[in-house]
Amino acid sequence: MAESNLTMARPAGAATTPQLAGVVRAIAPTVFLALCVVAWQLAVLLLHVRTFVLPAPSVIVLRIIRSWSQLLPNALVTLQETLIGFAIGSLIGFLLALVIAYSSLLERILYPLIVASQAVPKIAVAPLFILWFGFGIWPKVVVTILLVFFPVVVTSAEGLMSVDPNLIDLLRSVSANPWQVFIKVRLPHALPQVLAGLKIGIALAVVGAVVGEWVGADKGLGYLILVANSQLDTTLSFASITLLVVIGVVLFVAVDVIGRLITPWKRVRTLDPGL
Amino acid sequence: MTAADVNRGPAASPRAPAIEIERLRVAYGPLVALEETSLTVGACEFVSLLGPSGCGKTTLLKAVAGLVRPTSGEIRVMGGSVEEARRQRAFGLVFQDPTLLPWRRAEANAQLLAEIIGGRHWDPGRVDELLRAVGLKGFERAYPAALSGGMKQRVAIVRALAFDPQVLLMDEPFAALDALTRERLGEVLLDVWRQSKPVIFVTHSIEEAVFLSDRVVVMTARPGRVLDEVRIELGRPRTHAMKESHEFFQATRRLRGLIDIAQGVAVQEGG
Repeated sequence: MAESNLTMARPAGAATTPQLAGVVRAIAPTVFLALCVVAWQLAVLLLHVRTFVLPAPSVIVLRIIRSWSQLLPNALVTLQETLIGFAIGSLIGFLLALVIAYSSLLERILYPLIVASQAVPKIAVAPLFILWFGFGIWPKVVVTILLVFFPVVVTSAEGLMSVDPNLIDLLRSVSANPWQVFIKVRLPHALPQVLAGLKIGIALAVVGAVVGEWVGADKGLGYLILVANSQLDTTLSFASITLLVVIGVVLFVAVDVIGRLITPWKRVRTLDPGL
Repeated sequence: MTAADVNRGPAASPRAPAIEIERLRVAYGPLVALEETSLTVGACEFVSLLGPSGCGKTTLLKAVAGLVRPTSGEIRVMGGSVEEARRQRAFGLVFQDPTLLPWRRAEANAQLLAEIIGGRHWDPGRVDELLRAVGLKGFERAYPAALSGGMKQRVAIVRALAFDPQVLLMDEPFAALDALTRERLGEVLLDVWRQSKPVIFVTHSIEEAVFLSDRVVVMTARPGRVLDEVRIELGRPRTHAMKESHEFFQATRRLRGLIDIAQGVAVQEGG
């Protein structure tokens, strides 16, 4: 699934593989993952690793099923924080990108601050957010926003500003107004880059929610991991991490698929190199 | 001046020049791109600008389209100012790069400017007709990524003509194409132009300029100026056979001589 994103920019020669290679490419990621899990399982069994050190995959799966009623509500809390943080963070990121793209003065003023905001360790400021925003969902959302907005600003601003100047001239030559230039050219031109920023953003959003929960929470998968660790319940910890991974991958794939659907022209390849 | 004179205006009479450029000077800071440039283009005249790189051909074109502000001098289009002409959507532009929008299919790309202008210029039927005329029947739904360079440039030509502009301005439109495609597109251009409006066509190719134009203006570089011009005494419609004619040969030879001078001047001033 996610494998296709990583191979997106390969040279054209690699794409002309025979049918068999195509099948191999399709199932290879799944097979590899399965092999890793099997190797893990065997290693734990053969080396008699104790469960509180490293539980076997089978044990983790059984635990997920057994503790489902405990895991699910916490997973939903983390998912909620992730999605709200992602939505607000993306929106803020895109709006900042617009400001930057349309004003070089504001670009000069804002860009250093935006970059500085990323240098601040989130884990260090997260306790302040609890002080400011209370103990509920919002401090987690704010940490998530801080992580998400950055890649969206950078890629969107890049996309909005990289329009061919000839194209802008062309529109000026027919007295197009700034709104027409934006809606007909700049925005669709920037769309692939905005989507690239959103893909990075959604991956970071899960991390943001968990970091927020670690600093102070009474629910969520991050909170559950902390509790499990304190009780040496390593299996529960792994079960929570597994659910976080599933959430992260599913959200990433969702953003990727939506992105592909709204940029159908990106899939077009040259059919006829002649006249 | 009486009201009647004002109403008639220069645009009303076919004899009046469509574009008048008088003693134009364009400087970008200390860099003078154009100096003392005067040029007149008739109502349905095809004029090519020929000259070495850096002679300000593109600047001249952009000044006519109102995209570059003259430092001094005057440009009149259809008897009015450039700004007036631009407000009336007078200019159809074609660049060397097709500058198509990758997310729009050929048809939608061709409609872009007509769509922006809207109103009475908005005629999807005209785009259809033009696409057929330039040989893109069957490719209307193709994305630019699936089109060849020549096809993309055909779309760009249709886009420029789709809203029936009063003037066509072309900046080396075929320079990035191979020789055969280039020749073919020259014919396509003449075909859709049908002597309907004035054209200013910037090129580096002498043969192309002679084949397409009524008049070829040679410019010198640094700063750009008009050196001389050659009237092309070939009838219309232009045919391949004309390329073998005495007139064609004469014109190319004269232009080659002028280009040599233009480049000589450039070298002299540069050294």
